[in-house]
Amino acid sequence: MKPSVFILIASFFLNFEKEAFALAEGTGLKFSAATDIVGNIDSKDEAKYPRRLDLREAEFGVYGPIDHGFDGNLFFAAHNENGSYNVEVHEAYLSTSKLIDNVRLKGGKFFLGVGRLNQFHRHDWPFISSPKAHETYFAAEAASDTGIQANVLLPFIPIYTDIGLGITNGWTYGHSHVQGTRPIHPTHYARIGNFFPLGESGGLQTGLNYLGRHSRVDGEMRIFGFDAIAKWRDGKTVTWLLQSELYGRNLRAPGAAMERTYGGYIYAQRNLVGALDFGLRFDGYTLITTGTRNLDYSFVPIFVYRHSEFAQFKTSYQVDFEKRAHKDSQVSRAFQVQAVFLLGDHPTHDF
Amino acid sequence: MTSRILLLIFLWATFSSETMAAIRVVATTPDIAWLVKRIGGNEVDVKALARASDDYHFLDARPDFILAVNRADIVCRVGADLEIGWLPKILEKAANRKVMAGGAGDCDLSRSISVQDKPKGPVDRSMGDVHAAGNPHFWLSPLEMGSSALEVEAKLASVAPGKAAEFAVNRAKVQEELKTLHAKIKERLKPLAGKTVVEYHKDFSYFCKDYGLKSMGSIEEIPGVSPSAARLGTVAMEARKSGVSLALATDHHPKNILEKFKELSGVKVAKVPSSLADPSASDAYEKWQNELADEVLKAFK
Repeated sequence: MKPSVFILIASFFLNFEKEAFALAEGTGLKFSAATDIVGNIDSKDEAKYPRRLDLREAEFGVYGPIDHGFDGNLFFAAHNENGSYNVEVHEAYLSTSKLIDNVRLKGGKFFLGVGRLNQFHRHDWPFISSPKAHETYFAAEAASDTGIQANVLLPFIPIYTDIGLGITNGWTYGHSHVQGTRPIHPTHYARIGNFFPLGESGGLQTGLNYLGRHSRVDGEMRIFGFDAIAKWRDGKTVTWLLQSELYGRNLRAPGAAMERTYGGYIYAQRNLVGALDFGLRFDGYTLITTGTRNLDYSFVPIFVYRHSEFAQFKTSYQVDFEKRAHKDSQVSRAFQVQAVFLLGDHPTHDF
Repeated sequence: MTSRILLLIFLWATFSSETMAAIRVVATTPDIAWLVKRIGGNEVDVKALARASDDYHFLDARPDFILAVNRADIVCRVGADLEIGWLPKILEKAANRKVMAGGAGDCDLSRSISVQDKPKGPVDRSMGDVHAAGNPHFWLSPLEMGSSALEVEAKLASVAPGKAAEFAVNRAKVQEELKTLHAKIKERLKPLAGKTVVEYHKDFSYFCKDYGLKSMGSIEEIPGVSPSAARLGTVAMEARKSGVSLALATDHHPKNILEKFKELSGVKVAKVPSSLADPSASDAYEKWQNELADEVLKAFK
């Protein structure tokens, strides 16, 4: 889609809000918009963290009931990719939880239902940058594709157990602007999600993940992993947040040997006072099959200020290291700032 | 061995207390859970999602809430957009057609009450956490609680028509008890009629109206947003000028701000629970209302 068309559509809904809402009256149609502005103030690596303040992403969504059985969801996003804004259909899918009890279905283009970060738009993440493992295994924001996904909330079992299965085209993988090629096996994935209450005010959500794809061009890929998030809340404040994802990937490119990597991140966030939180993330990524010890890792301390549910500001200092055969060296660093604001429909408080 | 384990799982699933209960009701707050239990009696198995100490505007769509709603025959909510941030997500993920909008188990108590403070003009986010549907904190009023019992009775009767007469009797009984409770507390608070209080957030509007207290407004300038130092100074001065005798706040309101307000205004502050604590106790609502009245009386002494 051309940027001008996107701007035209967005202007129609945002500048002519009353008319848009009048049009939507009686349809249940809702609108939302999100803006994600990111800047690198001080940077050691200009290529990775250019010293500038940019609109990283602007997203506009419309969603609501299609009829008595299905809901429709359409999200456009303009991404800043190397200085040019590519406007694209971020997600466009129909979904339902009204046809079969315990079952949620979605079909269309969507973020694949694996892991934690991959299921959330980047402006909803607790930190600014993408962990290296997430970026390598999925995409800078999320791996998305067109296909179908079914989630079943298992009945009778006293523990929350949600099983998600999905299959998508697999012509491309991650975040792509090309058509790709027909795969040998399409992208397929599964996630088993569980939840365990922790005391009166906390809880732990875990997920076991598998994703596979076999492409003539990219080779055969299998990702296995674990995601977990624990939260404790006091009134309107999340007092503690612990979040982690750990993955292993086997990748066999055509004509090449198997490459096995492991990667992930651990993030801990504590409320300091009122609307101010402090968090610390550790990322790690290692290639196992080289025979040489290696580790790419980062430390990312971060401050988060929530002005309201709809506007928040973050600052972080990202320091990236490489360990090669027992030698550690700092390869890049950046002081980052972010402003996120949301317009329109009330955002949901996902766990 | 495998067949024995499967048999045990089957028997457990079939005869566990959860599945034996006639009507499984999920209430978003302890107060609604209490009301449902009083009307449904032994015919219902009720679970409250939030605890009395929670701020009902700011809960997460926790997976254990999703599980509870998935297994429910009825989901009762306060309504008036109080649970807008979390309940729609829970309902979607629970994939339980019975309790979705329009289903037999879709129970919204705000439908059967007279909602106060409905904004007259257009509402937008610059006004803070203003509920376009009006003030949802009606459970602090025994009279409105009594009115909301009609919705609970209707939903229970639609799910178990054979027990409708029993529910109607229980509903009438609890309404009568709430009326009596209201009259008793009104009598206790009679010496304070016409006195002015200030609320931290507009939680107490229904309570004040029920018992003849005047509310000067709220310490918050913008609903849901902590007041600035300038606002605290202004509202403290205004409270002193207007002869405000008491500031009412709930347990989850910020202690430091309330202490600062007390210091600036010289007005006593009563921090009280915004909900009853134990919905399974039949006298929980009466105890809690009396506790609120005690705190108010104590502050005016």
